[in-house]
Amino acid sequence: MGAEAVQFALNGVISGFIIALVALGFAALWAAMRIVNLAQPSMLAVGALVAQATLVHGVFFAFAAGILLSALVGIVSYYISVRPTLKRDPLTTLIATLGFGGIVQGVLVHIVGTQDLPMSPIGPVGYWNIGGVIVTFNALLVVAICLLMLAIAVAVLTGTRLGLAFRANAWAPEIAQANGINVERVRVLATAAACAYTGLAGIMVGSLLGSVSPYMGLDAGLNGMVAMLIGGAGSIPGAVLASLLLGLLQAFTGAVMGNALQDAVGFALMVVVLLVRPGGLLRQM
Amino acid sequence: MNAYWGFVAMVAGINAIAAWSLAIAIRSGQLSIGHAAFAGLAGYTAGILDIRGVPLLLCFLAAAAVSAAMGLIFSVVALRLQGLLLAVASLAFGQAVMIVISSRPELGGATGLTGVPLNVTLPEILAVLAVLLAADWLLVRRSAFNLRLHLLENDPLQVTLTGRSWQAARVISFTLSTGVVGIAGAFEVFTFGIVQPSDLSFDRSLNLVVFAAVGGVYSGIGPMLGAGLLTAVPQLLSFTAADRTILYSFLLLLVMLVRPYGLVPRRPVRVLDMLLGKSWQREYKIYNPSDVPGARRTRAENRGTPKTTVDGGTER
Repeated sequence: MGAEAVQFALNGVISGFIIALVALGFAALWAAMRIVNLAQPSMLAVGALVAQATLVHGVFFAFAAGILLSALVGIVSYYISVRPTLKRDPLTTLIATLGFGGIVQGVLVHIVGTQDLPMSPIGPVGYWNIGGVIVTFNALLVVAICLLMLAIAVAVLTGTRLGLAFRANAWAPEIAQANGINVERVRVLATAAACAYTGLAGIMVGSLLGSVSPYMGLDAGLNGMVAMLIGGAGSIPGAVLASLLLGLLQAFTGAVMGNALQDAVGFALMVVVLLVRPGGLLRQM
Repeated sequence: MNAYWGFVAMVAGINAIAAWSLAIAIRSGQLSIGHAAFAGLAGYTAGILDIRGVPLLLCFLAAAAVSAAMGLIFSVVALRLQGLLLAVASLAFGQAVMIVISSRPELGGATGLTGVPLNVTLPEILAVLAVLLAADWLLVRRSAFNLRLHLLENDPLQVTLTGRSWQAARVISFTLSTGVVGIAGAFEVFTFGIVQPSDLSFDRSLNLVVFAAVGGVYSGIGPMLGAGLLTAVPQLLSFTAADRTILYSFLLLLVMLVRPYGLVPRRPVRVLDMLLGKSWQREYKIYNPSDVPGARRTRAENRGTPKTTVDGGTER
């Protein structure tokens, strides 16, 4: 029983880290522009499908291709659907990004079809058995990459001029602009980074599940959005914390009440958090 | 062939009812991306009751009541959320309802509820549409309630300035909207004879948003036209599902970029203005959204001569 519980906790932490990458993207865009980019779940599929297709050329090439292409599609989504609608209602932006995401998904379906494609794990095959707890090398690699990416995000946000510009823009865009920060550039870079992280999360999901499809972004995207809301819209530590919480909770619900209900837990948790703390766990607006 | 187009017309009519109800919610600034879940809940209710032998009219009433009750609960829970976050919360709510329903074996699980008798016809759907359209023109558009909807969309605090509670206005409009979408859901189950968890999905909710947004949410006829066109045209062109996704998405993006208020402009009742004369026009104009003080204006409106006078009233 003890070993089983540890196993569930481990699985929860792994999926929590992947959700964190997606939630980080949503939180960054909320902080930068006060928008939710609903094209982001499609970036997950873009990253995963590109990586799956280029995996034969080596893991590093696949990663680079998947991340770069999702960032590129993200920048296109910024110029086509976000920038022209930003001055209007936020709902206009939401619907426009939804439209863009739908186009990306439709194009992906045209290219690869609707069926699941098999994807081989990115890490070495094999596992450790530590007292009944099975740790695959693949999962370890996924966690290591997620930790590395989170560390990079923290380092850039706290230690560079670009991070300072991003935080200033999140705090008060007008004042940031008045102080000579190129808000437009910050927004483009934030979109590119957010979509790169989402694409990377897509590669991780594909590697863990062993299959990829154009529709794979929806579940992880929704989880990321929910984690962003639970953590406090725009708060990056909040998003990571909420993602881990969500991952753990889903793993244990899945074990106790069956897989079908595990996705509903996140939404239930969100309702509770919104009732008790409408600003989210760690509020930073 | 004729029966086929009759069926397409029924689906278009049902979509039109659902799109109109969603437009009411969007008009009040509450974009819901979970309306298909409310419709689906109502569909399950109507289907189960009908199989148990409850009279048809009662099935419809119960469906609308269940859907409105869920809408009420969601709306009260989500009162603290605005705009975007509210939309995302409704999306999450819809997914959660879908997951819970598909995990209940007594509701048919993933297969859904089958074997519901097909006992509605096109004239009934058209009659409901006509009632909704008349209600929109004669009751909603001329009412202080409509004014509150537009103030709500702009800034809830402005509703407080009129001496009413913005919370009440928001909850009432959302409950009304989900109640009507429940009727659409009941029609749907009696048209297809089946309701499945996938009918509650994000995709279906998204389609409703597309219908309403493309048609234009600020008029009664807009969302109905949007739903009718977008249901019929893919049938004419015999599109596959993937093609339809691309078409819908592209239209959505295009409309948001070029005409963010939809294809039907904000003043579609000029014919009625002429028929009913000045008194109608005056009352209608006061409650026109673009004349509400502080209302968001389109770029075209800003370029033209201002229509709002200093005291916020309308030039007579």
